[in-house]
Amino acid sequence: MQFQKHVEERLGETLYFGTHESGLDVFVLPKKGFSKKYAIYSVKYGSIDTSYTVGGKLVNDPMGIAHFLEHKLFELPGGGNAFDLFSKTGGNANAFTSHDMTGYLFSCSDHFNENLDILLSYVNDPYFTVENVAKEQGIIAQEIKMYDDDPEWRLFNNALEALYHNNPVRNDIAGTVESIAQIDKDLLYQIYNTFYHPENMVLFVAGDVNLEDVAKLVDKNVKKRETPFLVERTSYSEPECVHQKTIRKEMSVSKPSFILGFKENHVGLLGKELLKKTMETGLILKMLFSQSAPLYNELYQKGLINDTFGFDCLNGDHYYATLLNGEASNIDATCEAILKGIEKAKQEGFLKADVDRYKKASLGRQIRAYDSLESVANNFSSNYFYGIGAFDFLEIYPTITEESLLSRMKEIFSEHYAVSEMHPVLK
Amino acid sequence: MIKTKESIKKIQKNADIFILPADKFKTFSVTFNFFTELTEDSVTKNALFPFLLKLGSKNYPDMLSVNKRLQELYGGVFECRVAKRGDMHMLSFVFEFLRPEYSDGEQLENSLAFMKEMLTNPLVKDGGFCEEFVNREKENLTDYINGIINDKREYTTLRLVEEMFEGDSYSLYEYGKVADLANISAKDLYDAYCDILKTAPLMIFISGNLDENRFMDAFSVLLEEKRKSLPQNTIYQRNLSVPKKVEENQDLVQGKFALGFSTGIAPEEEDYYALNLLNSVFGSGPHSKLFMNVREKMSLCYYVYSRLNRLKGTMQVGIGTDKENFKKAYDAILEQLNLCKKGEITEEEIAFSKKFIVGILKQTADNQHNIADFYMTGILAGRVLSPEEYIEKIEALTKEDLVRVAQNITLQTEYYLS
Repeated sequence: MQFQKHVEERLGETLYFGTHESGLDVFVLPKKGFSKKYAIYSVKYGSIDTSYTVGGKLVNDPMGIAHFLEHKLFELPGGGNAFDLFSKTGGNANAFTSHDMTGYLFSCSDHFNENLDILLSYVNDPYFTVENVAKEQGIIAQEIKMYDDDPEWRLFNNALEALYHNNPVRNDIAGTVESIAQIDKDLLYQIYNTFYHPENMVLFVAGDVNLEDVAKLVDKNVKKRETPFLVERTSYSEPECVHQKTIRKEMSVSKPSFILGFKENHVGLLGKELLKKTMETGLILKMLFSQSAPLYNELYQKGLINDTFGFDCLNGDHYYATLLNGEASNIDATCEAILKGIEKAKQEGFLKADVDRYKKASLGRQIRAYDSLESVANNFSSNYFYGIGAFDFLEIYPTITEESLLSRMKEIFSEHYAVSEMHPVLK
Repeated sequence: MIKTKESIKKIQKNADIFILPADKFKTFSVTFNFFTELTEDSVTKNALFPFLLKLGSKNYPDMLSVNKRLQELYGGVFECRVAKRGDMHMLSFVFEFLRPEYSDGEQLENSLAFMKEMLTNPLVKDGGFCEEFVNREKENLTDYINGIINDKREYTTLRLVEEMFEGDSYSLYEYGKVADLANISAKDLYDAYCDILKTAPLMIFISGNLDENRFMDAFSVLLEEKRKSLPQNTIYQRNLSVPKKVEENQDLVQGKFALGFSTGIAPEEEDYYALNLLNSVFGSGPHSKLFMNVREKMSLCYYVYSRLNRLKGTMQVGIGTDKENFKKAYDAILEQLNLCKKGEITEEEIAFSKKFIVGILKQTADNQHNIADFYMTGILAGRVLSPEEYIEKIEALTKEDLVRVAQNITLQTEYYLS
């Protein structure tokens, strides 16, 4: 495998990139001076991928299967699990499943090659049995119940449930105790073979490592498949409007909390177009709702929001949602004030001096992120699946103007919004 | 005298300044840690400072101008918080800025001026903090304290500590008590803050190529003051033969419980390193007895762990499992601890645990805040080692060391939430 070199002087970073014969893209970001080495091997397969067409056949899988598979891949042929192997080589391993991807990762200081060998081999060598699937149903049921008691997670999932009618992003990533009971070993092998295809995966390594060793280990563990990756993900017919204006639940919490979520219907962008949209979303949210924003300060001073206030943006192939969240004694009053503030901002637009200052600060934070191997690698991997390159953000900044932000702001904040509420249980 | 490796430099003024090497980072960071005794009288007052000080200073008189200034400094970071460290209450100011190579030639000067302003030039009105700010932040602190119950896992840990140390100041929550807020005036608060600035023991950690003389010039006002010495810290003293048991109900889907053990080992003792390794064999990491047995073999939980509180000489186990499995899980946890006591520890478990701890230690210097915290813990424990020296201690341990420290671990408190 040949690596190409990309030097980015503004960041003082170099990125190596190569495509393996199997179709797997491999990236290496050398970080001299760090003893830590980090690798993440990801697949574009997440909790939303429960309906798709492969070989002309429509398949519908139980909710939570991507996350279940993530747990089960650690199982090794002949018993034992990958954690045992990492323990021998001093690797600190983990994995996660999100709506749109699954990542397998480790960090280590010594024996990087041995650790990378373990990562690549266990992900490429599934071993599912009736017994190990049954055991995991018990563990994951406990994980699901843990999240059932987590008010923030419930609030978040309820917001997505309110926004979406059909899109599977409205389902909990881990599924339900009932849905995971439908999973068996044959089904796991089937989805493994469908989605864990080198063309649908990416390997990102950060740290002071040897490029040739990385290439050799990929050669050893990743095999070219006989057929190309051919999965057609079902595109759900999703009405423009939200599913429910409000979802109101109660739990044992200290104070009412809410998510005010906005749904966008222009979805499916890729590459720099998507990156620009997302960077603009981030800037707008900061210009309205960070501690440096007049609107935030006004809401804070009036006691309508407190320190817990925050925002998030969630997007995938067929969804794009912007979420504002926080605690409020009177959720209606707070949401009304937020919506009013947004309308006012839409009329007034932004000033160039402010936009420039926010861009300067955001760029600074992105440069700072290169001090953390995990944050660079994880962020890169999730962007990769949407055709976004590591250094693309540097090109986008100059194209963002007060005009582009104003029109983007009008797109985000439409009438398609919903409120998820969590109230204390009345004693 | 503190023994330090060449890689860390200590400048002794009336505050202790530690300079950590950090050429590989794109930022430089400065942490100011002030220590006071953890007491019922001061804990809530101190907890208000982080809320108040982020709101403004004389020259940046509101949150808007503070944050606007941080943006001008290329997205600089300013955080203020309180934490418990043994019987001490720590007030921390943490700053992080892009290095001049990635920003501009004025960056060092501007950042120093900003840090100094935020620490030493608070917004004062009529000899106190601004009344309006104080009142609002009392509300926010109230929300914060009441919010403990929202995170059930964290709540379980906090409640265990509260019950285990009942009657001791260590049982206090680091953010204080809502009931204390009413009697705190804006003037009291300002006086207390001035007192901390002038007399509280102070440790400063600088990471990155910041010119030390320029730094000391800028902060001469803090470095010239005579300061008290660090408050006394004692380890958990009780020795209950029957553990204290507390149960609470919140109608949870999943039950959670936590067990508090005394270890009898003081933070500066040589045996602490053996305890550190034993804790990993027992319950820290995916190779640990708790993970391998209670989770992987018995399928009882998603999370189960043990962790040490070095300064208080205790160990804590936490688990989330169905209420009907409480007894089964409790028995399994104590059974694993008994195996440790009986010496049923394999060479493999020891080797895995050593690699696990050594791996973490080697990566400590890859994060500016972790390395600062690592040295600070050493100082507070009364035993400062570099990560390399710490690794030597861990590597030298044998099974006998682990069995010896396991003998003294005794269950003291059980807390159940369901």
